[in-house]
Formats: sequence, C-alpha cells, structure tokens
Amino acid sequence: MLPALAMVGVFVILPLAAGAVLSFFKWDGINQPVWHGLDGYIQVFASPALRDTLVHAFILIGFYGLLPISIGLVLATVVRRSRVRGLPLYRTAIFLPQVVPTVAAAVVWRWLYQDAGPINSTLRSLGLDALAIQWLGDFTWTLGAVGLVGTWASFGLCTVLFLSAIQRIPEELYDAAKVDGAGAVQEFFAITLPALRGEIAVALTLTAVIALRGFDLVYVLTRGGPAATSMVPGVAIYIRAFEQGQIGNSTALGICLALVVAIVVFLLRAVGERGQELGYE
Amino acid sequence: MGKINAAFEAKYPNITIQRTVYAWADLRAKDTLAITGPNPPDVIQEAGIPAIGPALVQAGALVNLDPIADQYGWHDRFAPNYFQWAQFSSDGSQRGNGSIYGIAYQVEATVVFYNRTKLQALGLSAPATFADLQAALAAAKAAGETPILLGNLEQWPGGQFYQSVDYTLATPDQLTSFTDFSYGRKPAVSLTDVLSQGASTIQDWWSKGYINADANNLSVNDLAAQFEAGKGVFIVTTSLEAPSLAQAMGDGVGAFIMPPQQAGGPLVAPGAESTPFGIPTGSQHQAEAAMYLDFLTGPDGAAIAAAGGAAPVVPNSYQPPAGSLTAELLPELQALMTSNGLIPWFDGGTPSMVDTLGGVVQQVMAGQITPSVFTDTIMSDFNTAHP
Repeated sequence: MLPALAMVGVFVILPLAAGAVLSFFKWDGINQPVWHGLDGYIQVFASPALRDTLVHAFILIGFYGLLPISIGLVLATVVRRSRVRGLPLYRTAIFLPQVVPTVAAAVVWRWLYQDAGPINSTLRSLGLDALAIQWLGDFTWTLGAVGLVGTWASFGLCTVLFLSAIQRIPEELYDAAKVDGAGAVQEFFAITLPALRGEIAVALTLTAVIALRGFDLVYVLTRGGPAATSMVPGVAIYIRAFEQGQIGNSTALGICLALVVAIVVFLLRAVGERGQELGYE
Repeated sequence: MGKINAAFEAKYPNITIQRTVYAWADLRAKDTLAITGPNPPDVIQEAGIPAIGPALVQAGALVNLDPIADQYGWHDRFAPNYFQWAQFSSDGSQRGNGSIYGIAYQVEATVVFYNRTKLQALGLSAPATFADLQAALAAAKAAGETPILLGNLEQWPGGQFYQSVDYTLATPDQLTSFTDFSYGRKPAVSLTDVLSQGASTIQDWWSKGYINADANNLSVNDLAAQFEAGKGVFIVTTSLEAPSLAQAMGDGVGAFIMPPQQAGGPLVAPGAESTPFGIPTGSQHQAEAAMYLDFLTGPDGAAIAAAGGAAPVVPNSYQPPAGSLTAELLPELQALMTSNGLIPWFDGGTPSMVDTLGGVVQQVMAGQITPSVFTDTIMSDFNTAHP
C-alpha cells in the first residue's frame, strides 16, 4: 500500500495541491506570483466565454457518452440475437478506434471534414449539397462534428464492454421471456438493460470524464473555433496558461473543472449503486 | 538557418551549434519553459514576444543587448524602428522603446500573393489602388474564380488578413495610434471608426463571395497546398511564405503590398522585424551568442538568408534573379522598412488579442456580430489589459 500511496501523493495529490494554491494567485509563469484571492474563480463564473466552455463540455458528454452507449447497446443486442460468426474479428474491428492515438485520428478527421474532403464529396455526388456544410468551420454544427469524432472513438469500447456482459446473462431468462410472449424490444428493456446497468454506469463514467476534461481532439480539430463555438475547458486552460501567460487564472478554471468532474463521477456512481440496491445486479 | 549556421561554424571552427527546431504553433509554449528552465539555450527565437516578453524582461531572463548593439555597431546597420518589436523598459512594463532584448535577421509583413496566370487571364495586372483591388475581386468573382483564398481554421490568419486591409484604410494619425496600440500604449486618436470600417469591408467581401466559403474549415497548411495547386487568385498572408510559394509555383506567383487608397500613396503593411533572436541570461556562452547574433543579422548572414528567400534589410552581396518572387518582394519590404510603412500587428497589443481578433473576424464575416460589436470587443480586451 505504502509505495502506491507515495506514487499517488507525488504525482496526483502534490500537483493538485500546488494547483489549488496557485489558483489564488495571479502568475505569468515567470515572475513572483501575486496574491489574487478569489479573483480567478470570480472570472470563471463571471466570464460568459469561460462558462460556455463548461456548457460545451456537457454537450460533448452526449456525443462521447450517451450516443456511443446507445450504439453499443444496439450492436451488442443485435450480436446476441443473431449469433454472428467470427465474433473476435468483429470485436477487434469495432474496438480499433479506441486504440488509435487521438491526435492521429483527429488529423485524419480534419481531412475527412474538409470542404474538398471525402465526406462533402460523397454528399455532393449524391446530390445532397445542402448537407455538405463546413464541418469544422460552422458556427452551429462544429461542436457536433467534433462530438461525432468522440462518438466514433468511444463506441467500440462501449460495445465490447456490453458484449462481454450480455453473454453472461443466463439464456434461461430470455427463454422465459419468449415463453411469456415478449418481443425483441420488451426483452431488451426487461432483461438486457437492467442486467447491463453496472456496465452502463462504468461506460458513462469513463466517457463523461473524457468529455469533460478533453483537450487533444478539440485542440487538433478546431482549437475551439470558429470563434469560440467549440471551445472546451481543457483547450481554454492550455491557451491561457501557456500562450497568454495567465497561469493563475487558468489554474482556477482547472480546479473548477476537476470539481465538476468529481461531482459528475460521484453522481454517476450514486446512480449505479442505487441500481444494485434495487437488485438489478 | 541551417546554411547560416554552417557558414558561422566554418568561420569559427571552435564553435559548434546545436539547433533544435519546433513547429511555430508549439514555439510560444516552449519558449518560456526553455528560457527559464535549468539549462537554457545560448540563443533562442523569441516567439510570442507581445504575450511573454514583458514577463521575461521583468524577470531578468533575457540579456539586455544594448552593449552588444554598441559593440557591433547595430545602430549603424539598422534604422531605429527596426528594434522596436523587442525593445522594453528595464522592468518590462513598456514595450516598443527602451533596451533591445532581441534582434531578427529579416523583416516580415502581411502581403498579398497572386496567381499570375489567373490575373493575366482576367486581363488584369497587380492593382495600384485599393479600388483597383476591389475591382479585381469583382472581376475574379464574375469569372467564376475564388477571388481571395483564406485558410482560417486556426483563426490568426483571418486576423492578419483583417489587419492588412484595415491599415490600408487608416490615416497616418491612425497608423501611429495602431503602433501605440500594438505596444500596449493608449492610442492618441480613437481607432473605433477605422476598426469598424475594416470590419465592414471584410464583411462586405464575405457576403459578396470574394472569400472562399470554406475559409473557417481550411487550415493554413491546406491553404498553401490549394493555392499552389491553382485555387484562388489572391491570398493575404505573411511574406515568410514567399520561398515555399516560389519553389512550388515558380514564375506563376507574384506579390504586392496591399495597395493604398490613392494611386502613388504611401504603402503600409502590418509588419515588423521577424521573430527576433535573443540570449537567455542563463546562457553559459553569452559572448559567443552575441557573435552569432551579429553574424546572423550582418551582411554575411543576410546574403545567405536572401538567397534562401528571406527578406533581410541589410545591404548584402545577394542579387535576386530578375523576374523572381524575391526580386519583386524584397525591394518593396526594404522600402517599407525605411519609409516607416511597417506598422506592427496590433494583435500584439494584449496577451489575448490574437485570439480575440481571430474570433471576432470569423464572427463579423459570418454576420454573427456587427462591425460595432467587433470594435467594442477589441477595445474592451485592450482596456481590460491596460486599465
């Protein structure tokens, strides 16, 4: 236990504490920090631009978490019902996005999303010119376009997680349901969904954390643009701290983000555990 | 740079240079860490001077180059305004005058490059006035071309484009105030009118389809690739692109300074000495570093740099081939420097101005905000940073 504690202490607790202290100072990263009290935090909540970054992060939870979980549930159910042959190969294929480094994937997606890129070329060749929007340069749709890359990156993880769990559900349950005359949809809501509740909570926790503290995808795809319509806290923190020399201020945003992540994880766990008490597990 | 370093090593065989190269986008973040770190380099290219320069000078992290400038006679070599970009008061609070903390081997400006073949096909030549340029844009649009190709995914390119347009619209008084603004000093005359005027102009150009519709979805690297492949008649970007454009397009590319309102009027462009080089105080070889800076910025370095397509202002032995892009652009840039036509980019006025300007340029072009909101946002960023 002790070595593990020491590691956590040095690499997690200490930096976190240092960050918490710094967030009360005004610091350019070079000269002596100047005491600033709660000014950094007031700015986080007073500045609409910074508040928006948190809103964007929560929207991204939908794309990084809810959407992939829905896709994963559908795919896992279909696979269970149809007894696909070559399941390991299929599993590997859909898990692949999880293995590709995010930055490499983002570079490829940036090309896919270009006006002259494959997506718009395909849409135009199908006569769907109205749908061929500027994916990474549109004030309305860019955040969603970034989110879809996140969906692509995490649906494999969710599917594989649900696939392994769904195979542990006793076949008798499904047989009994069939005897009772349940259709595919009723079967899903009565048996599959409750049985996967624990896995769904795990998947939602993992993906929500990735969405909230995300940096690499947004930084490479849009740097938060156009204007600040896809700006997320991670990128805002980086730009403020390392390009604009406002380390204290950006640390305050970082601490707020850490708190938000902690609260979200706590809530998700509470929901997951309530499920266990209700006897779903 | 590689060739200049090799020439320096050949001249001083007991000195070896270890060069580390970073992408421009990373340099701003790397610089602070490198300069203040435990083992700083002997010479460093000072990216992000407007944002981090004051703090570095205040902390005494950069060597004051005044004695070196006197020793090597830099004041005879360069006009006084050449040094402004990296001049600071000793406490770092004032920029644009004071002691020298960095020096560049070339100047840089936001200029207009054009596809020579396309412009000739339209029956036009390089415009002499701003009105000519607007007429050329209309003609290009009517001929089904993309008049201005802009790669604005990263946002700062749109900011540079805007500044290039706006400086041409400004009066001499306003230009002086833009210089003040760039260095974080309160502008003497109000800039709100000319800022809004520039915003209206690019908004108008955007709505008339003079700028490619995918500008916000096109990265600056992809822009160069598309222009080289024959898309677009004009691009407005940094003169530092000249060597690679000339290599890719040969005689097919030309360049000019954004034309003035009146024919024959004084030329202006956003520009300054290019990203300067300085010496971290922690360097163990400051004397050698000073020798290197002198070599780099002197006639020997200038000749090598000019041969590579750079724009040094120091007279040197290099003669650009007639008809080349360098032959077209280099004298213009040198003339700008001596005629005080290089006005620093005002997005250096606050640490966050590059990002602020980049954002509002995208918004105003797309019609998301009005020119007056555009101007208010810029002024409020400035007034917050300089209360």
